[in-house]
Amino acid sequence: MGGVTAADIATYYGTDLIRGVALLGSFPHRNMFSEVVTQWALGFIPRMLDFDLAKFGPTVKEFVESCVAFGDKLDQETKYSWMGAVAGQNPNVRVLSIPHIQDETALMKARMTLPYLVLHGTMDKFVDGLKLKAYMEKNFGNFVFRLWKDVGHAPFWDAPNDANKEIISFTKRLSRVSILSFFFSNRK
Amino acid sequence: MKFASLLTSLSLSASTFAVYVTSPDGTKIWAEAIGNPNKPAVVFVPGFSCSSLAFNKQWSDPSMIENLYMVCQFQRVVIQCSYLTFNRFVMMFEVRALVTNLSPTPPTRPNLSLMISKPLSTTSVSESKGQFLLGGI
Repeated sequence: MGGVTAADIATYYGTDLIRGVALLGSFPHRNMFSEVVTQWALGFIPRMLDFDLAKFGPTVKEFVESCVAFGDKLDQETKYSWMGAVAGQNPNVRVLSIPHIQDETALMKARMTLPYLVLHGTMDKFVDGLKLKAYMEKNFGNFVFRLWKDVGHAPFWDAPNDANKEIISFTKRLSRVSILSFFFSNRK
Repeated sequence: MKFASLLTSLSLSASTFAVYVTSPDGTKIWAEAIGNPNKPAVVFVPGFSCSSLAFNKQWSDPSMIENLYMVCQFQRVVIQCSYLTFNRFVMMFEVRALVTNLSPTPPTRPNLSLMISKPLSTTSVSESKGQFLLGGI
């Protein structure tokens, strides 16, 4: 969900503040989530928003395990540190973090030029990778899409070497574009 | 120690630099940075209820530390962050405060590989030409 922050920044500060956006198991903005959400997530998300801590407790463990491709193999240190972060959040914030309103108008004005790197896994339980790819192809004009097998909702965790190489390559490509843009914009 | 010197030492030691940044509504946000401040800045935005812990495999990768300046916030109320208010603009405010407090000092000569080319003004962000790469789960 962190990837949708780009839409807020575009709305209130402008897209010229953003050099590029990397979506790591995420999606471009909140209002298109219904187009890519999985059936499993539709059933699970309401439990994450429940005020009843007796119900929320077991949900935390399931949520953390669902973020990676093979949750039952997630090491204990990682599992409990992630669970601690989720459980430590005030319920008033937790229940508002998903339903809050977002205006994607400014972001979508830049959709054909703003560079995107999309890293996604075929085992993502929240966002359907094939549907997301179709959405990107239909609505965005400057993106690189990687859909990896045996990778879940957290591609940076399930496939860190590949993800890190893609991120570094993306930033280097943007840097070169920036230099060229500066050169051409300053020619007399 | 001046902030610029601190960032320089950070790049040499490759250790995490962490500070509290304050949102306009007064909420204190725990934020961390690691890497080379002379390289492109990448702001990592954790997804729903997650924290920067999720990016351990990025923050411990020598090639990422060498090639990027990685910045991440904890979402408010997660672990070290305080809880005052919440509104729908929360993440925008936090990213603004984050970049303001953790971006490198402006270079003495143009360094076009920097995605944050200068610290953002707290009063007139729209006038800034600084840019950053946003990475979100």
